[in-house]
Order: sequence, then structure tokens, then C-alpha cells
Amino acid sequence: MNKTYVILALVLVLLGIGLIFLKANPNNTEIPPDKLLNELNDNTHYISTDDLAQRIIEGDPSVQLIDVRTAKDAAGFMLPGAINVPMGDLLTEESKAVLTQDGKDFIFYCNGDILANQAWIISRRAGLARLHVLKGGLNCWVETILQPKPPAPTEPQEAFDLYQARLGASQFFTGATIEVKKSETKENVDLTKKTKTRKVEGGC
Amino acid sequence: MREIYKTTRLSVASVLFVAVIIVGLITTRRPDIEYALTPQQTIEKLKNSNNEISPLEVAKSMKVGGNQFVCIDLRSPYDFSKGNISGSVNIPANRILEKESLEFFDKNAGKTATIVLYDENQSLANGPWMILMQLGYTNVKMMQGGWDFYAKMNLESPDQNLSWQVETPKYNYAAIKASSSQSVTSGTPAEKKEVVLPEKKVKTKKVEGGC
Amino acid sequence: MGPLIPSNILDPSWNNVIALIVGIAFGFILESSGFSSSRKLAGVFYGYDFVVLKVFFTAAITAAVGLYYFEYVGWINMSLVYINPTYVASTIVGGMIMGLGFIMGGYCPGTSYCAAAIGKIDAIVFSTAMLVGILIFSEFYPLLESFYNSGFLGNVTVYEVLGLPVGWFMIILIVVALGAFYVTSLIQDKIKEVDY
Repeated sequence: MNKTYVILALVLVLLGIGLIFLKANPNNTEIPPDKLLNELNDNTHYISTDDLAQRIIEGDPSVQLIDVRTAKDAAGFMLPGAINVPMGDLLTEESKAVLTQDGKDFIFYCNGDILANQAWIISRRAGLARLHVLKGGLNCWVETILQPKPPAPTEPQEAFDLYQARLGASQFFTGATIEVKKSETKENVDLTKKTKTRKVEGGC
Repeated sequence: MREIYKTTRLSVASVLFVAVIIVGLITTRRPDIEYALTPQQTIEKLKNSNNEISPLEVAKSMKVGGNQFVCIDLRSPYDFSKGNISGSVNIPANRILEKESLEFFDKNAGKTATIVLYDENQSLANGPWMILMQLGYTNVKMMQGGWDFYAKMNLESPDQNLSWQVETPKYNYAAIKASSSQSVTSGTPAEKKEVVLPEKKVKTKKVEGGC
Repeated sequence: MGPLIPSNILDPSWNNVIALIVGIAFGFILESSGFSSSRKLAGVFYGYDFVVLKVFFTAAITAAVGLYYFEYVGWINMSLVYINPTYVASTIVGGMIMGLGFIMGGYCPGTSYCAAAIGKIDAIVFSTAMLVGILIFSEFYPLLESFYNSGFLGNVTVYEVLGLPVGWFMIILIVVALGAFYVTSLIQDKIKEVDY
């Protein structure tokens, strides 16, 4: 029997024994609290309703909406293409499969943005990446996209441009079911765009 | 062909292997601040306990001068100096994990008074609260609405709609969607235009005329 | 830090490049350990050469021990490491079929390509036959599908199924491996040396 083998075997056994004691500390694959706090205070994980609407309308394939409300709420209404992952199911294998898809930006949303933010924190702590939160949630979605309010006449040009864009988006999202059949809605979207450019050219 | 015993290579390989592990063990040090709750426990706590306090409750307690709450202002010192909940302590959100701040939380952790975190709005207080909660501080809660609501609040006639609760759905989303798509599918296209999109028509005309 | 691609340190398009490099390295080690000889590989079953068992078992336990140390040190996030799904019934039958082919042909899939690469005719026949086998399986897949998917346990590891902590399971695995090495070396000493 070669002596080297005995020594090598001993090394392996020792390393194995070491593993028993190491397992007491399971936390270090996670993002540490201070780093998490920095990311939170940056507020760069928020995405605005306007940006989201634009990305959905453009058909951005990387958008993956995650509805963190309860299954009952989600059954009533979900944003197009969303997957319902209730808060309690956030750590299950199925949710992990959803949240680790390649090349996707995951956007959490709920009614406001508290719940989505909490889901973001828990998932981010587990080391998942490319996570975002819809700023203002569905309430803000309704106020800005589905039922946008016209700006006051004194507001700057940008506000009007934004309003035009939101009207187009509103039509896209509320009338999306008939969009294919009837051409009126589509034409309308084009019209608003055209007038916008004309307005600028005319110097009004 | 005879078997070649490559024991020297094996020894070199295993020495390297052990060396890499030892280097790794030496270079890592345990972080100063560690989570006390596992992600699963965090979710349980989020589901099962009441983590939020309404600004009304805080205001009432402040009015009678009770020491039921220790309020922490997470805004910048400048905003804090412009106005705050009386008796609150200013710890800006980016400094809650500094040594002095954690000492403060440790000192108040065992007491009956609830630590209430507030910021400009509840979303901003949510992150720091989540961090502290996961670090194991049990008597920390966040204030709904934040300073925006607290400053404007009228104690005599409080807002009956509880409008500081941002998580309650303000609209019936399904109904909004259904109403617009129903009017499209059931009615004739002309009707639909009149009902749903009057603003849009006005808008486009106005712009065209203007140029 | 790691795994590099799931944690977005490397772009997924690097997958094939890394696979190529690791594959070449793996083939090189196989060939230099003499695994391109079908007699050496079949020796495990006849009891005159246990190098295959020793090499693969050592590789497995070394990698496992290293991975769990790396996890402790924070170099790899084990929750992002892909774990093959387990299908108990089909795995047992599949393992038996593969073992049969291993004894008859003297190669396992990886080593057959390794040996084919250095021009061994039996390995070329073996790997071609393997492709034919894959074709037959694919054609009959609808018939076999229900069995193929039977005994599904999910993406589990052995210690999760047994409910043991990782450390203890690793110790058991190491002891079993070292015991196997010792016993096989005893058997090898008893059997007359085969010239191959």
C-alpha cells in the first residue's frame, strides 16, 4: 500500500470533518444587509408606469411582470403577460424557476408599491438579479396610463407630450382585445403621434 | 501497458486544493452585520404580524404626550430641521446600519415602546424597516403615509378614506378594463368613440387647428 | 460570486465557449489516464482494474468538498447551481441498460468519443451505435413517455431526501469512497495481473 494514498485519504477525511462545522453559517450566499440598504437608498430599482407602458407596447421581450398580490386579487385583474407569485410562495421552487429565467427583467407590482418592494428585498437578498419594482403600483397605473388626467394649460410642453403618449397607451391597454379586428383604435394612436410632431414643427 | 502511479501529481494537486481552501478561509471574514431571520421567517412575519401604524394613531399618541412610540425620522437632517414629529430622532435612511444607530436600536429593542420609522412616504420607510426587521428587531414598525400625510393631517376631522393606505386598491381594475372593452365589443364602433374617447377627439382637433 | 453565468457575471453566450474549453480539458484528462482503452474500462467489471471507479469517485468527492468550502467562503451560490431532476424508476432501468452496454462495448459515452478521437475503430463503432440507439429511443418516445417520467422526485439532492445535514452526508460519502478504494485494491492484488 502506497504511503501517499494514506496521507491523501486522511486529508480528504479531515476536509470532510471540517464541512460539518462549517455548515453553521448558511448566510453568505446572500446579499449582506449594508449592500442591500445601499441599493434600496439608490432607488434605482423603481421603474415608472410610463416606462413600463412603453416597453410593453413596443413588445419588449425582456419584460417579465410579477404580480405579488394574492391569487384571488390576481385572478380578477393582471397586467398583460404577468405571472402571479403571491408573497407566501416567493421562495418555492416554481417561483425560483420563474425568477431565474434568462434575459428577463423582472418587474414586481402590487396595488401600491409596499408589497412589491418587500418582495424585491426578499428576492434580492437571495442574490437574484435584474429585479425591479413598478413605482406606485396598480393605483398609479390606473391614474397615469388607463385614465390619464389632462395637464393644466400652464404646464410645459413635456407634460402635453407625456399626456399624448399616455392616451395612446391607455387605448392600447383598455382596447387591446379588439385592437386586431378594428382599425379605428390603431389609427387613432397613429394620429396622436402625427399631430405631436406637427405641433412641434409649427412652433405652436 | 502498465499502470503508471502518478502519485506526485496527485500530491501536488491535493496540496493546491487544500491551499486554495485555506486561502479562502483566511480571506473571508464574517460580516459585522448579519441577518437574524431567514427569508422564510421574514415572509412569515410579513404575513402574520401587523407591521404598520397609521399616522392618526401616532398623532393621537403624540397629542396626549404618551411615550408609546419612539419615532425615527429617516429623512435628511435638512428636511428634519424643517419639520418633524415632535420628539422624533433623526437617523437618515442611509445611516441606519452605522454603529451608533444600531446601538440606539439595541438600546430600545427590549422596551415596550414601539419604534416607528417614517420617511417622506411609506415606500421610502419600507426598505429600512425591512432591513431592521430582518436583523431581528421585533418592535420596529413603519408609519403609513409618511411625513407627507402626517404634516397635512387634521386631528379633528381625520381623513375617513384612510388615504394613507397605499396598498388598498383605489380602483376596481377589472371593472375599468371590462367597461372599456365591453363598450367596444357590445356597442357599434361609432357609439364607442363617443363614449370612451371624447377627450381624444377634442384634443386632436384642437392641435390641428392650432397649426 | 459564482456560478458565473446565472449570477450575470458572464453573458450566457459564453456557455458554448466554456463548454468547449472544459470539454477539451476533460477529454485530455480521460486520454492521459488511459480511459480510451476499452479493456481498462471493462476491467472494473472483471476485477483486474479499478481505475475508473477510483478516478470518478475521487473527482466526485473532491468536487463536492471543494464546492461546499467555496460556498462557505462565498465564492459560489449553491442555490443557483442547477440540479438534475430525479426520476427514480427510469433512472434505475436506464442505469442497468447503460451498465450492460458498458460491459459489452467497453466504453461509456464520454470515453467512447475520447477513444474515437484517437482513431480507435471499436470506439467509432460504439459511438455510431450510440447515436442509432438515441434515434430508436426518440422514435419510440411516445410509447416510453409515461415510464420515462415515472418516479419524479423533483430537483433534489441525496442529503435532502435523507434529511441529513450536508457535512455528515459528505463524511459518509468520503468514508464509503475510501472504503471502496481499499477493497478494490485488495481485490486487484488477488487477481492475476492481466496484460492489456
